[in-house]
Amino acid sequence: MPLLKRSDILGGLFLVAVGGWALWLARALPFGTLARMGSGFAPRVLAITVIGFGMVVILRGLASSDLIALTRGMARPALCVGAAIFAFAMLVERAGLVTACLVTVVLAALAEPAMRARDIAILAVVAATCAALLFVGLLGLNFPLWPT
Amino acid sequence: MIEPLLTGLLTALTLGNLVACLGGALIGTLVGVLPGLGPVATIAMLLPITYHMDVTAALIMLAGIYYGAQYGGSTTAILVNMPGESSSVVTCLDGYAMARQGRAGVALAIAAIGSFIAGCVATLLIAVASPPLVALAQSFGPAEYFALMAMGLVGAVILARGSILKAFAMVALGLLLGLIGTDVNGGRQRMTLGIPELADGIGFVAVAMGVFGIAEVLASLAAGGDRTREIHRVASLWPTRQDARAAAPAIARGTLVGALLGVLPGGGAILSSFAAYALEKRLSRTPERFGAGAIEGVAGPESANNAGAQTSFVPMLALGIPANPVMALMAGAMMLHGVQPGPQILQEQPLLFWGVIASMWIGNFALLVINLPLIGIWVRLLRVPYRILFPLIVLVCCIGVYSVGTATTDVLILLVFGAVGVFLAATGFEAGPLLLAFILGPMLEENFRRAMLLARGDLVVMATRPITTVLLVATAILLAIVLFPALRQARAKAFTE
Repeated sequence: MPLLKRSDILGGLFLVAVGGWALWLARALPFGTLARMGSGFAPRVLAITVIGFGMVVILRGLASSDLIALTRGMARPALCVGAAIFAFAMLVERAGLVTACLVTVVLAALAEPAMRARDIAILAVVAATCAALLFVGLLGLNFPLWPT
Repeated sequence: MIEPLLTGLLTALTLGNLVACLGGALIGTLVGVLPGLGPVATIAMLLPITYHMDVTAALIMLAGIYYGAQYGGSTTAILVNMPGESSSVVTCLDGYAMARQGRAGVALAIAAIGSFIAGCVATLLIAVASPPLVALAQSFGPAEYFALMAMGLVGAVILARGSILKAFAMVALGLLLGLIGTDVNGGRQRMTLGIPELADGIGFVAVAMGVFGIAEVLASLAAGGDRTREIHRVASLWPTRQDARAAAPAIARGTLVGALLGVLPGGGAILSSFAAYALEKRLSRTPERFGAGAIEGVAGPESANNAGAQTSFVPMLALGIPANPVMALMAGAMMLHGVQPGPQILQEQPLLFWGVIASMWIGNFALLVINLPLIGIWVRLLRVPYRILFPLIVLVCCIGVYSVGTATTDVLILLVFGAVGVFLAATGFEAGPLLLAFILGPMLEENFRRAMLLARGDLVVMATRPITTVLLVATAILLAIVLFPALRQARAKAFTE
């Protein structure tokens, strides 16, 4: 059984990586003493704790054979929903709320193969209209509606 | 206690507050019924609006959304076997089984009545418990706050399902993530990757919606998303005398369990419902009926989740410690209005304090009406297929996250934590302890630092303040409870090998 498909090994590696990254990011922060803790005290102590837990989880992974629960069926939804969120972030300030809503809904809807183009279009237009009316019209939030 | 509650009731009954309460209850039921949309996303989205409202009305509305969602969630669980709200997961088991036997109406009625009774009792408990707790909290120093939060985190680990080791790892990771941003002492930037938007830390709304909301959407889509849903018809709502006799003690126990677990930091609606179901099954003389339409399996958890949702206000209102993401949002709403959550609220803002508590009575009564006679409306809403719903959920998450701070960085954080959430779920880590640790992290560090400064760096001096000792000993006992069975098991394994 390939080691890199086991859930505990992957999960443990993730923890070690995040902890290591944090340790590196906090390298320049002063540690201080217990009485006068510096900015680097908690980050370093916690980063080491996370790494420690990660190692124990890896060790457990060597003994267990549980596989990571990611399926091929997840690829398309993940890609589409990810793209939808990314598009919203990129568009909302540059192209306005209406465009951002239209693009986000269309991209997200593509995650489901059963959606027909006409339905997607209707859904996107309705969602964008509602969002614009609710957030900018009714609640007066300061979002740009259109490209400026 | 009666007199302040009456003043609170008068506050809650002013027109503006009454509208806020009913509006919150209605919105809460709506998001509770719709699977995939929960109170966290909704409250986050509505947070900017509350800025234009009076602070009491704002909190009354947000509270209504939280407990309203507990009512709405059961409808979806019973009629289509899907949790409308994460705290209704266990209601699916027996609620849906009852619906298949043609007893959907009875299940709905018992769920709503149980929630109502639990809501009323919990309101009363909050009113009784808060003032003494506030008095106690005023003698709290940083050491006590630290010990209290440590206990909450250990509690969250114990009550997490799955591996305890992994839950502890999530707590450590959550605490670490909470440190990102400007250090309050000295103003140094910590682990911000040079991104100016991270100077205020990672937005917890983005984290919460990523690891829960987005990850859940992806999981449902991968699981086949649009299974054709069968919605069961609602016949008579009236429980038989036998139903009532079976449900009444379950409601009482559920209320008690929920009220107790709600107060724990890390507690709240989700935890309470699981605990209540386990308790009912254990106490039952016929545990084999559970899963096959036992009315106690609906009455207990549904009462518990509502009681838990309400008593989770206690640590926030009395101590200023948000026990779950919803409470962190409430605290955020208060701070938007310049009200610092903490024990001083009871004295400085008594109308706010008692108004919010009393409004829960009105809200629960309104919810009984919203959910029983008007059930037809919600059933119709359930006919909206998931393929229409999920793009809207994704959009709502984006807008919600963006609107909190009008920052696109937050939307990108949502994306990152959506991916993290999927990964954690796939590798058997639970996101709950991570989120709680993330919320409590900065407060925990701050209090630990101050406590150690006061104790001149001596851990023993810090730990031997009387209340601190009690709290730390309680934490140690909790730890021992979880660790010892695990140790025994490990030893048993070692012996057989």
